Amino acid sequence: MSRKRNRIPLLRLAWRNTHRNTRRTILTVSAIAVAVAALTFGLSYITGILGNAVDTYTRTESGHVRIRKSGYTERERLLPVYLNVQDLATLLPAIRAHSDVKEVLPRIRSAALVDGAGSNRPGLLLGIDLAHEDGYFNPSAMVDEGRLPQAGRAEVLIGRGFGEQIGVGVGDSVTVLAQTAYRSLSGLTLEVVGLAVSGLAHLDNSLLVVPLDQAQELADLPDAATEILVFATDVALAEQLAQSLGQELNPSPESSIEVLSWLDQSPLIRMLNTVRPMLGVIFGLLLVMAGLIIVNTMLMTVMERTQEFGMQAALGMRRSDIVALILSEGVVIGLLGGLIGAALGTTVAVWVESVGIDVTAAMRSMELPFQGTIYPDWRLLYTVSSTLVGIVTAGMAAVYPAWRAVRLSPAEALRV
Amino acid sequence: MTVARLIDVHKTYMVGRVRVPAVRGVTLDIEHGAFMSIAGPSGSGKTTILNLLGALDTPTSGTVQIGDGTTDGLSLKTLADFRNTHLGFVFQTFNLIPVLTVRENVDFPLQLQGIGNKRERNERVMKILQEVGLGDLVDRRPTELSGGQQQRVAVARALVKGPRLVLADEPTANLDSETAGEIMALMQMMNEKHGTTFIFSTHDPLVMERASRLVRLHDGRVASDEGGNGGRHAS
Amino acid sequence: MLAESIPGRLRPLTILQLGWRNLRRNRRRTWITATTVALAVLLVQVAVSLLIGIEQQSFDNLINYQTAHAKLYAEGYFANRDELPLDYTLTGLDELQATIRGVRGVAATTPRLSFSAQVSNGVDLYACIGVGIQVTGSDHDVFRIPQAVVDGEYLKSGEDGLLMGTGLAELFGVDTGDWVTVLTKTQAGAYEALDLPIVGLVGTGNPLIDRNSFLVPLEIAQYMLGLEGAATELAIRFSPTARDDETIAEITRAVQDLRQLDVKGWREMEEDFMALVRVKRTGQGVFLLIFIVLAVVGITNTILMASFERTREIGMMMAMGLRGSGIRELFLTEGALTGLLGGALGSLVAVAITAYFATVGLDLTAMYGDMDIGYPVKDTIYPAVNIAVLVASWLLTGVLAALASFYPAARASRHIPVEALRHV
Repeated sequence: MSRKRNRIPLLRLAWRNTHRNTRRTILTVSAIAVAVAALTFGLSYITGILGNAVDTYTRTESGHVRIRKSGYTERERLLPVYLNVQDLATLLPAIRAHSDVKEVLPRIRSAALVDGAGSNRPGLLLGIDLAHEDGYFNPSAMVDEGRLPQAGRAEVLIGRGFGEQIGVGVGDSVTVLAQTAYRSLSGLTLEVVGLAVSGLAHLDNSLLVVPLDQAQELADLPDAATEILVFATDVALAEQLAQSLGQELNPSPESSIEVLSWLDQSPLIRMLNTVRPMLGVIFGLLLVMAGLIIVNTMLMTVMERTQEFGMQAALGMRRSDIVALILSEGVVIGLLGGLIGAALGTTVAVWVESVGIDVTAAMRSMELPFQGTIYPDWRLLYTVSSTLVGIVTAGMAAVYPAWRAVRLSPAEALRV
Repeated sequence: MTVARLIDVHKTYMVGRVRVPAVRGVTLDIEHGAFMSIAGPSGSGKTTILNLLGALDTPTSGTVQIGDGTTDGLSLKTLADFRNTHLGFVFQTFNLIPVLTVRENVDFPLQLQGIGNKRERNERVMKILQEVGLGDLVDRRPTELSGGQQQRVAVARALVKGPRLVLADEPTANLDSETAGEIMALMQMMNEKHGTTFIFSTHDPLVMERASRLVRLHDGRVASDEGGNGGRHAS
Repeated sequence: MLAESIPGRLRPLTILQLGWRNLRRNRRRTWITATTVALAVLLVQVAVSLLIGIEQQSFDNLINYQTAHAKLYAEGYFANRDELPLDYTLTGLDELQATIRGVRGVAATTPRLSFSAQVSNGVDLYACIGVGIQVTGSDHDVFRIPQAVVDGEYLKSGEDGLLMGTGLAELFGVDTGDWVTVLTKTQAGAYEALDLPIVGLVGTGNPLIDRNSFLVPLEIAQYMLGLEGAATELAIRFSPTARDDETIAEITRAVQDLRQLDVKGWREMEEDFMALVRVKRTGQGVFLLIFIVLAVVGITNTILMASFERTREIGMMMAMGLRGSGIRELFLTEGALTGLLGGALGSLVAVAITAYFATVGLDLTAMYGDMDIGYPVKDTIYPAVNIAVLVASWLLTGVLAALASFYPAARASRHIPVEALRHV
């Protein structure tokens, strides 16, 4: 004989049951709320940090994919200009032809000895295609005073800190001594047309930005660059793009070209990425704790209501209904806690995102591709998924109490 | 000599938003050494009278005198100290502390009286436990005892500090009639031996029979007061 | 007289006994609550001991290989120290050292001459930091370079040679026994080149040294730079019992009449690093706090439940004359005991984990690969187990748990006996 099931308004009943002991419910709910709030904020925060680091690192250093001469990576710190990529005129259009490619940017990096007003210091000379670098190296956003250099002219944008160290400002000229592709030294006098502030200490204290053609002339690299940065339409495609570009540019096994995705270029970025699984463990612990608190509370409510369950069973309520009722109570607690926690976590994340956390002082000692202010990156997805995780945790925590509740036969339960 | 006295006592409770008068003008004198029963149907005010006499509650109007003083305007803390010094309680549901042994349960009120000497406390505890016939069970937990044994412990606990007045709210309601008789006999014996005043509320006619004085309540008023002016001991 | 002053209290021992037995009344609940506390304690202790381990090790590293406890500079040097200038040098070193050694709390001093140099293996040229150290005299009294020599041997006085950072050697592809060219510019502005053999490699775990520095005997540095008898700094090691700030103040007093000199403690030299440490501490503190909050919620909840269950018992105890404060003490004790139980559980596991890593070490290289993580530490970290800290934090857990029980305990203590007794 089958009768129509599910006539019991479980959620409404569960909701009313949470009102039996409001204080206890509030405390239980707060456990889930704390966990969900921490989860929401934590996800936003970590995404903010990683986003900041990945974004800055890919834009200023690695691209989504970086193409360089084989052997460059090992000697990266020496900035070896003699290891370079030739024949840009045919290479660049070939890369651009790729469907996932958004931008292709040749750059020249070179160590330079810079003579300013009487003192000289080593600096980092960066030759870039100024017309296409907006949104990538983003030199125009760095200009703090003066203007950008123009292609074809012997002009330079220097880091403000660096300018102060060698004692030059806008309108002064500097002489740059650098290695050529043939390992000889070559010099060039440049007019300082702008001072740059990037927010990255290691750049501001060493950077010289010149038009690509000037750097090519100085380093004797016509139609060549030390690196080609490739940006995909989405950073997630980087790995895939690196693979296909690698096969295309390096048909023979004795490769002469290195093609590396951003993730493979920096152990530091790799380390930052290990933060995610570590955080997963921490959040897991947090949820276990919140879950245990719920188990405890619900065990007590279930024990208190043993007779009630016995009576309900005697009236013909099935065990599965009682289990469903208790699980629903867990879900209601999870829902309440989840919503409160989500509201709290979201508020904090959005607020901190609007003001930022200033860590400039802390970042000075690390040569990190990292802006001095951390902005959490809140997304609706984080709030929604944290809430869901909270609800599921609470629901799962209710399983054991539910099992305890239906363990006794109606007669036994009534006798308690 | 009067141990306790109620003078035109009224007590009204708020149940939700409804005023429920539980006691409506009761005047009673309780003589030293009385073995008194308060009877009446449910809701007649028995428990309220006991609570007022037990300084667990204060009247809405009227005066409650216990010993030389009144409970008027005393703080909760002072009431607690007062109960501790002068009163003993026996409850319907025994109400022993389940995590303590028999000995420790009886020791509890002595500790509350601030008797620091452990040997003195132990002597008194053992003496009273012998008297109630539990000398062999001192190290049991309440859950290991029968209902009658638990109630004996409760009686011992009420008497151990030598109170002027022992209040027992339906002490036999959870016991079978044979055990109920034994508990009543025990209390009667203590009443005679130590002169302790006992007041108990009950429905049970067998219990009422044993009382030296029987006060019947109806709707919060004294309906009858038999047995007169003193306890069995005094008369 | 009604209000006789007889204490309606229980002896502390009885309270403790009642609390303990009440915990055993609902063992499942007690264990679940203790587990939440244990998880929080475990995480906090492992995190803290690991972080303190890393911090302590990096501080030691800085002191042992880079900053010493303090350094004495000629006035003007400190502000420009990043450029390694040769314009602010110390002379009359013997006399200066004698003065400093006389200061209470100073264990040893040694002069060092730091300079910027280009090193070449014949192919590449790389700008590095050169450090001239007094080999026979005193450098090893202040710094721990000899212990960091991972290949070849330590410098010998009077012999030409240099010790090179492992990272730098790797970059050049050179090894012990190879020759490199060191290019410097003298204070007068003339260029000087010198071919030197690599006598050994130093691996300190400190990126500044391993990746960017080489060490030469002081006489050679002085010769190359044309700075006979001079040094850029006098590094000072304190005796283990000396207090940093007091000793620095004493040194400052001792040298103030001599010349224009700057005394800088290692913390001041490494301000940026200390800032990084502070930010990390704050961030980690926030995360740990969340766990503590959850544990507090767990205990509050449990004690609240216990007080609900025992309403009648509370009423009965009050009827017998136990004051509200006594009821409060009972529940506070129960909370504290739960906390101590969970704390002990968590601490035990934490100690086991920490002790494991303290013996085998936590290999950072395996986790992160070889790189500069901004902390001057060796690849392997040995977290520290500190019994005093352990016991203190265990007791703190108990105190915190008692605080967490305060609300439910206070609620329970406010019961009216009659109503509590009527409770079913």
